[in-house]
Amino acid sequence: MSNMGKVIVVTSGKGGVGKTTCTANLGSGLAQQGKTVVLVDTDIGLRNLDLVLGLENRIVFDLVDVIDGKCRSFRQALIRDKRFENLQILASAQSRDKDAVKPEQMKSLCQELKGAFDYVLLDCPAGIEMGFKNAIAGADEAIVVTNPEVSAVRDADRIVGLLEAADIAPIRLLLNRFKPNVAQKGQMLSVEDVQEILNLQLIGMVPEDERVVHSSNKGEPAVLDPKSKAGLAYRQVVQRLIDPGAPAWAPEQPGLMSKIRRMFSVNLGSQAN
Amino acid sequence: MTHTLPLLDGVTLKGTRHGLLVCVREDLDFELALQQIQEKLALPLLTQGSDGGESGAFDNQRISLDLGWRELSCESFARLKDSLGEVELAGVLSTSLQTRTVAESFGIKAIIGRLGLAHHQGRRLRQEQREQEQAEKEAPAAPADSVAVAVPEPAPPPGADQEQEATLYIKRTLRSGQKAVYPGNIVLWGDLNPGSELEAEGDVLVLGSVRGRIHAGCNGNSEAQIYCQSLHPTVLRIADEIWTGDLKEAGLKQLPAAVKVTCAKDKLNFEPQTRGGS
Ligand SMILES: Nc1ncnc2c1ncn2[C@@H]1O[C@H](COP(=O)(O)OP(=O)(O)OP(=O)(O)O)[C@@H](O)[C@H]1O
Ligand SMILES: [Mg+2]
Repeated sequence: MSNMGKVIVVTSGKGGVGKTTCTANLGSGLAQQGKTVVLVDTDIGLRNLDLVLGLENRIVFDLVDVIDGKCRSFRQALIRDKRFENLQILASAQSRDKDAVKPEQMKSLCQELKGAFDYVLLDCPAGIEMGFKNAIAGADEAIVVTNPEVSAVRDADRIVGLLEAADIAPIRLLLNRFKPNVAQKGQMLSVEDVQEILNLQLIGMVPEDERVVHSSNKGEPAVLDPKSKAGLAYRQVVQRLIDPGAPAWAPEQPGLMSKIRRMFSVNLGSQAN
Repeated sequence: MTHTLPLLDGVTLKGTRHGLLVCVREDLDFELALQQIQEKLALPLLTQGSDGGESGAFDNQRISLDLGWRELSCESFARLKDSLGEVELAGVLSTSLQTRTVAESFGIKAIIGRLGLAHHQGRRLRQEQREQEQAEKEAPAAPADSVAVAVPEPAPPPGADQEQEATLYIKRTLRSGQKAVYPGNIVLWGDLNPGSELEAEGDVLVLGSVRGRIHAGCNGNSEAQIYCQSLHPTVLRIADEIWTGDLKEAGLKQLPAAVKVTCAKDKLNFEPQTRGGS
């Protein structure tokens, strides 16, 4: 068996739910744990993964340059993180559009990258159009990011249907911007409400945390901030990525109804035809 | 009362103006479908087409597939494509967005629709097709054009004339954006998530929770029924009657665990089902 890395796409359907923040934090967290990681910003035309990591000024080549063969190899386009030398990013092109890349090209790029890194995290654009198709083309696994809101969950469900059809597994759920007190009062969807629809393996719940916004603005991911609650949650997601048996921040507690329901609903995985 | 369908061959070939269309019945097991496609394409009458005279000779090296609403994963689609061997796949016809998306990701043109087969379209359209075929037969034998293809008429399977009740079982959850259409009954062994849809000419029975839309008796059959184990406010339709989730309108104080919905004169009738009752 070769020691190929894993390609994980971070996706959501709905925009602005925290994909880029999640990618940057999980990437930094994995690097902190000594893994070799490459983050690929597949949001062509709306580049911002580099900003969240404070690497904007170092970009010379981007994803489209690599695909068009404008640089010697993908290595020339990789930007090394300020903090971790085992963390690299491949920025997206700001001045091109999504049609600049084809799914097969992404597929072969991912294949190359996973030969060189433990983890390849793909920051997916919002929507289900070309950008999404490109981002998932080379992915083995997926993390679906959603917020505890009806519309975000609906879009996530749509995405999960498409990921399942593309034989991507496992598909795991990250519930972002969760407000524990509000959910308790029933003003927001609870984990059970979300799982009632999505019924996915929960990889973590990241609370709403002002520090996330501040640290993104400063280009310093929250996962490295010991005081940040969201940072703690991201660290636990990292643990679960490395060891799927590690405990989640808030263990999944399915209600009686969803337990009963689960007996009926055939589980995920890759269902052919 | 349910709708019935004659048994039809799982895979049928149809000559169209644009070439050969291979129609694959959605409820046919996938492995069987692959096998049957290969068998059908290997039929000698097809190879005749390519060396025959120009008139009406269908190109058997280039076909289109009508997949109905069958949802194919990338892996299954790849296998399907491989099973065609040398034959080029010119296009895919499907009502499933997933299948079309997957087909497009293989660089194959995919369009929405279901052209070919009667069994995709239910009794009414089957009738139309029969009439059309009849008309074609009666028309003076046209030279080669329609003959050369010799679309193999599926031999009527034993007992085809005594109609068989067709029910589609779906053993999974339908997610937002997914839709199953069937010219018979549908049994969904999973959830119907918000944003998903079931459309059946016959009855619909859902064993998981219902948050998506259901249209039973969609061809106007008001005797169709809907049975749900766990109904949430959504849109239900039987024939032309519509319910949009209003409890009062349904004559209910709360949504019962299990409910049978039938079509009364001008509205839908909700009968809560008790445990053990039918
Ligand atoms: N847990 C959180 N607590 C507070 N703010 C958050 C949290 N997660 C993300 N945010 C903020 O939400 C905003 C959107 O996040 P982000 O850019 O990561 O979303 P996205 O899904 O990548 O968006 P797009 O679809 O536009 O690519 C940012 O301002 C980010 O700082
Ligand atoms: Mg983003």
